[in-house]
Amino acid sequence: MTLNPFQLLFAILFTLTLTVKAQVKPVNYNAMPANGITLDTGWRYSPQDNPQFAEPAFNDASWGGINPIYPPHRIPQLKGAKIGWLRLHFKTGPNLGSRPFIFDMLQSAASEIYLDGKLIGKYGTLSANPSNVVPLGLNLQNQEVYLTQGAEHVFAVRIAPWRGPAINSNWLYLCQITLIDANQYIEITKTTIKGDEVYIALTSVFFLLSLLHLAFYRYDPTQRANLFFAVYAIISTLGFLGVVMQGEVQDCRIWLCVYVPAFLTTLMGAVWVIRALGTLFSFKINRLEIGLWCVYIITSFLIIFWQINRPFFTGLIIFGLVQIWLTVKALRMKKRGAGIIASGFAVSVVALAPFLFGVTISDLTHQLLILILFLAPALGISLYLAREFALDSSLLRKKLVQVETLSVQNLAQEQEKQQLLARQNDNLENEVAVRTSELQRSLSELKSAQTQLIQSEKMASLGELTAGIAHEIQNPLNFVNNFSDVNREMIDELKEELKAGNIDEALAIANDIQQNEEKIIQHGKRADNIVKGMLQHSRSNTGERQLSDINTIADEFLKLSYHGLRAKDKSFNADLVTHFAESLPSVNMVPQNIGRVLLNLFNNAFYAVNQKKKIAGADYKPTVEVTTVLKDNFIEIIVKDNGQGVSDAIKDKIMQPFFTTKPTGEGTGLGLSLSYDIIVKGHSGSIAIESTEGLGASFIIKLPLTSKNNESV
Amino acid sequence: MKILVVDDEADVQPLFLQRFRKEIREHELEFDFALSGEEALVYLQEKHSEVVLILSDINMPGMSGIDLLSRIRHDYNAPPPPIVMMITAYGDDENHRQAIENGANDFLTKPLDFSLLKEKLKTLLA
Repeated sequence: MTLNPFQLLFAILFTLTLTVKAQVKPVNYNAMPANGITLDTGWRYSPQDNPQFAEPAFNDASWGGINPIYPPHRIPQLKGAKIGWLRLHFKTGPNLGSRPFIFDMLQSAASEIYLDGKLIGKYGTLSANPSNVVPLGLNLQNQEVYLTQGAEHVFAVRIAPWRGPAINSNWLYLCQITLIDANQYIEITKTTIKGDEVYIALTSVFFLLSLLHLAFYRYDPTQRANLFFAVYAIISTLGFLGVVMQGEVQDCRIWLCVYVPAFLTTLMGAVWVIRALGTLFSFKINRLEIGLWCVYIITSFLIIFWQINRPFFTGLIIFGLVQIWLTVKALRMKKRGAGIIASGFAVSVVALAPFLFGVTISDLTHQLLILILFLAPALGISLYLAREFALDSSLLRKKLVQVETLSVQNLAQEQEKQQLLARQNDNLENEVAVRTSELQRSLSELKSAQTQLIQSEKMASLGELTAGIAHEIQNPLNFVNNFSDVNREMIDELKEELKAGNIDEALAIANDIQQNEEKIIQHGKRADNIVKGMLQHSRSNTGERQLSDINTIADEFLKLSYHGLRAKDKSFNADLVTHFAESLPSVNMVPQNIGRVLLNLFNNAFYAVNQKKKIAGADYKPTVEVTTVLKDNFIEIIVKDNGQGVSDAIKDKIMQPFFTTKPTGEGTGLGLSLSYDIIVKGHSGSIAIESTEGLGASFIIKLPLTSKNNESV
Repeated sequence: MKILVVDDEADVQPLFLQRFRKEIREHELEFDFALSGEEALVYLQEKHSEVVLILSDINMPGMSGIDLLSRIRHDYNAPPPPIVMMITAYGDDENHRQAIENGANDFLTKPLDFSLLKEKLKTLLA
């Protein structure tokens, strides 16, 4: 069914007539509760905005009822409302009498308050545009109003609601007006001021604690409990600051930004305390910590989106229990200083007790208890950490003293060691000096011994020569003597022939005598050479260079060597084979030195073949060969034997001094060494050995035909 | 009488020829020479029956006089055995003993005393 406009107008007029007739009954108040009279019933609301509504005479019987003590978003009548009006009719009874009251209000809106048509207060900026509303609703300036007993009073409130975030049921109410006594007002004011003082004190103390422990952490980063505790203190400082501020701000928007975080930070601080406790007791609480943060997030969520008190206190209790549990655990484990922290918590619990059991206490006690409640655990932990710091410091000081003592000892030891070392060095140097002089002495002794050895080597080879020399001298002497003797006889015969006048015969005899004389001269020279050679050989190594014939020297010494050996060992025999190159140039050399070398090689060769003869069969023919060859710019002398040969193992060694294969006493070991020196150093030649073990050996001497060594061709 | 002289010294030949020129001239003695033991053995192979006396040096390259002596005593000792006299420059007992052991009839030292040698030859020939 639809109504036409007339029917509608009629209906409205009819209704208005009815309502005009009906008068709103005022609310009666006849007692003053402890917290004052909260005007929580009898309110009427109109979403219209009309200055008439301020008038006490205005009949609002047609308005709907409303309970303004709810957050705006939970009041259905306010849906879509901009600026509207609240009206309340009330009376005060005889118990209250006619007297002034303090008018206290809080609101989540901007409003103008009229009492009996008179504007008594204007809070915030009203606007038809909700986003322009400035909601000053808290900590507002109180007004004094005079109320007459039995008279009907009307509060008319022109109100522009601020909705804020529509998430929590506990947020600010739309409008709450309380009437209180002057006495009550004084008490409330006092309490508020003291409460502020407590929280200001807590803020300061916690701020100082945070600075203190940050400093501790700064100086000793290994104790991370200091950091966590400092974080806790900072967070708590912010929380307490929030509590202080929420008692000061008027703007609802700012208040919301202070009030809720105050709860959230207080809770968060509790989690950091647990972290600090875990660290300073060295508990592994990683998993527990994750759980706690989960609890924190859940409670925070609930605080923001549901309500404050229940989740907040639940979280606080959970965290407090965990803190107490950790402390008890530490106490049981007899952790150093756990008692201090435990005392802090104990004191805190004692301070909490009166609140839990609802004991009536004076305001002052209340403030003190709150102070103690918050401060005791924090101070406990702070004291503990400070004590740890102090203990560490004193320990460090002790350690420092120890270290200093030790380093002094160390230094002393070091010095001692250095002195010892220096002494040892001195000793060592002395010893080295002594040894050096000893060594030099033995070196010079060795040198003289070497000289003696070289001399004795010469004498030894001379000794070997003696027999050969004897034989060699006997032979020429034999001729000298006998040819002389024959000549004497022949001269006698010559005389006889001459007397007999046989000239031809005499001439023949004279020729013979002449020939014999030549033989005598020849063999005399031969003996002379042998003696000279012997003398030269025994002389020291300063023979003069002279042009000499290699073949002559080789032949001479080959025979000397051979007969020398024969003289010693009658059974010894060997074939001497000579391949002397014809027309060899004379070589500029020290003949007795070259002779000594050849003698050595011949002696060795004869020794080798003789040794082999002792073990070889009857077919073995000991042979020593001497070959001289003229090459481009040098003469080669090869002394070859078919003796035992030289093994590869000792080939490199045979030129070394004192190396000998002969039985002890038979060789000095210097022969080849001296030969090497004479050929290589004395005559710029070379001496080499070719040998097949068991088949014989060849020593090859090369004497260069340089201008130095060779002066005629 | 044929005498073989073995010595590596070539001048021994004129010396002997001079010393015994009278005996040679009167054909009492005849000399042949060898310059080594080996040469002497070659000579003896053909003429051992002619040679009555052998004079040999001991110290020679190759075959020594002692070797030669033992070879003569071994190979050419058919009667009448040749008379062998050893000559050496080393007149020591050891050489002497070895020579005698190997069957030498006599032992002479250098320088050779030819009058002594002649005496001995006379004794031998007598």
